[in-house]
Amino acid sequence: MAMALAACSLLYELVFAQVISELTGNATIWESVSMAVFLAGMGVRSLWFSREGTIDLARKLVRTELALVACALISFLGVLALEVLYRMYVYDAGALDRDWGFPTSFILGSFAQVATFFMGWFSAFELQAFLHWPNAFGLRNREASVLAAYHFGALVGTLLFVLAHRSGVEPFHLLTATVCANLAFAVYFMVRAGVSVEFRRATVLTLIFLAASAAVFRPYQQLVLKNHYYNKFEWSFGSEGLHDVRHPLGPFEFARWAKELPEVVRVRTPFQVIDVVTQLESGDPAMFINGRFQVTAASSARYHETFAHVSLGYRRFAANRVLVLGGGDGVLAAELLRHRSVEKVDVVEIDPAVLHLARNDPGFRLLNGGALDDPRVEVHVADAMSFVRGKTGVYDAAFIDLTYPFDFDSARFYSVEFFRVIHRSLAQDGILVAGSPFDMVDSPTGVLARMVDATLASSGFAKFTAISNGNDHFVVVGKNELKGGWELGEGIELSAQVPRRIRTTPVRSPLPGPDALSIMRPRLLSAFDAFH
Amino acid sequence: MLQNGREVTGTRQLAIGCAAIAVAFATMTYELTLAQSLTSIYGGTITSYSMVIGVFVLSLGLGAAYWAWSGRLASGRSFWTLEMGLASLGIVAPAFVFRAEFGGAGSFATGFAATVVTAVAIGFMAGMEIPLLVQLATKQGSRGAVAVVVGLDFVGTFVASVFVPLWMFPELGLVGSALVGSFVNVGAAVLVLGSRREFQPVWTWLGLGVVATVAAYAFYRAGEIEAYLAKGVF
Repeated sequence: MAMALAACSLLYELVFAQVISELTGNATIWESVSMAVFLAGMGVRSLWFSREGTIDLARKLVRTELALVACALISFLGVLALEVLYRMYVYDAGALDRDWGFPTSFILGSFAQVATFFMGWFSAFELQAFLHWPNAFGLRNREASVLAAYHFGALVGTLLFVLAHRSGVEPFHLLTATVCANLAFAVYFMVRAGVSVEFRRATVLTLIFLAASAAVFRPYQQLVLKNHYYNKFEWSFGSEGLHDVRHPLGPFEFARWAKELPEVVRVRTPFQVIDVVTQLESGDPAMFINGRFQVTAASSARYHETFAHVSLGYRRFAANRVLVLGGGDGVLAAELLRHRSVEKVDVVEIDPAVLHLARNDPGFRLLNGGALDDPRVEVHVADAMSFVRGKTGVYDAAFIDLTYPFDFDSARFYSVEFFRVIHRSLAQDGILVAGSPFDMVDSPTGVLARMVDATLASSGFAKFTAISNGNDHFVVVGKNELKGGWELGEGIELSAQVPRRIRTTPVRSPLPGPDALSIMRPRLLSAFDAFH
Repeated sequence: MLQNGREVTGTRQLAIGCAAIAVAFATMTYELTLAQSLTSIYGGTITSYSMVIGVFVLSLGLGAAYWAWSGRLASGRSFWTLEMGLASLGIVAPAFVFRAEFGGAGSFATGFAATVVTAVAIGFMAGMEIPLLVQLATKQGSRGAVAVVVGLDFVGTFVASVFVPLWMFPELGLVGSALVGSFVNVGAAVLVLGSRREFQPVWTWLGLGVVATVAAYAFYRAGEIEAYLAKGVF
């Protein structure tokens, strides 16, 4: 029993950590904080328990189980509702330039921790109850035995969570299963304690609430997703500054509007959450990964043409063999294939679901022109770091088209070690091109800019420049040399989407410094860091 | 005499309480460092962390179960043995994972195998710590000893969960963080041994001194160690 309840407690904590991470877009910080707050709740309750008596533990356990179940359900749905209100009234994507001095997602994550604290609070009582049970279950050395069972239960909970995560199970469904298990235990303890009217009513109410939550979850989730992607700030700048600000709709107006909005298609993979959102103006699909925008037709040309053609324009010689890390949507590969000199493109994508969407969704296939099926393109389903490690002097150009370093997974790909591996895989005049979350042309001396410089210098790259088209920003680094300015390749023309004036910095050597990013010193960046 | 007896007991309770926080902090630090070492090479944070934590927790359970089954009596000497073992392992923990990947074996199985071996060893020993501390506290007739020691164990884990990924990893790195865990284990042993009036032979203090000195020297050269490990893998 201790084992089973420990498994349930850990599952609640892991599910909440996952949900908060997905809502705030930063996995590692909020998973660590959620674990810490959960443990704080357990610690405080355990210390409090030492002052309590151990009378009537069975009845107290029943109340605890019912409270835990109610807390889990209400909190889960409540956190989603909080996210809706946060998007409607707090989050402004920088439109109003409200400098609070910290990321506003901190508000959302912090409120959600209140629920996590109480999960820990109730879970601690379960453990203490078993440690102090009157007849010790006949166990020799009860404390060690109960702790052992508790640890085994935590292991079971962890394994179940990993299994569910890799199978793409919705966190809510995992939560529901855990709630049912807890309710079963509540009933068991109720039988031991005596089934009172109070307990019977509480159990029936909980069951009704559980059934109702399960019934409305899907439409509720769609409301939350539609609010996240459609009900946004919109604004534009004129000669006098900010104007034409459109605030998000309030709850009631939005609920009416949401009925007309197309469904958001969510695909959970073991690596990330992919959302396909239909653009209202054009009907084109847009891909979001972990809540962050990736690609859509309206901006695809602007982003990918700058990425591919402007950067290759810095090479002295035409590129024959090219590496694309990430870019499983196939659009960058399609642009690179326009260069007649390109004979081979290796696309390395870890998530088969992205490749499946790119190949089979009509909207994305139109965007990438079936590039992933081109005979010159070879697709590798692999981790980028593992793929490149064995390569030496192979590629004329390497493109990093991965998610930005806002969690530990992605932060690896912006480290000295990874850039060294790429440096080794490049041919003599090879170049590396990476997307940048911030404009290094306008902010060449900020904290992040110095980190980029130091990291590239430590990796052995000789030349560096930054590119910006006003919306999208890139860095181009040369293993040995870069041309002084860029020239479009033979037969390449930029479409009307790409701004005529592309800004760049002069080609120079990267500046060494103490701020190099290393996988041995994992550091999390956030969009907040880019602007402070 | 009663007054003196009460002071001695109070000091021992405080020492055990602080030791409970300290050992939990150190254990969580090792756990997170091992998981992050695996993630740094192979990625897949959720899978890496979950698998390492799963192995760790299993080992904690095995350690606690072993303590229960063996019927051992808690003593300062047995606590010293555990802390020496953990502090020594902590010095080399992240190096095992990276060393397994020297020459670019490139297989998740290799690194994970090295992590499992280290995690099982650390987890097994760490699993015996809390039952041992509970027994030490209960022997003194402390009221609510079980709840307090377990509660402080959670507090120590909480502190590590906040500090390790948010401050220690960026500032001290993987090697430095594991070495901090070693220092903390040595400190816990000093606390518990120092609060007990039973005779401790000189070699117990010498042993702690040697481990602390090695950890301090490794901390001083942590940057070079990290560079060596990273270069060997990448």
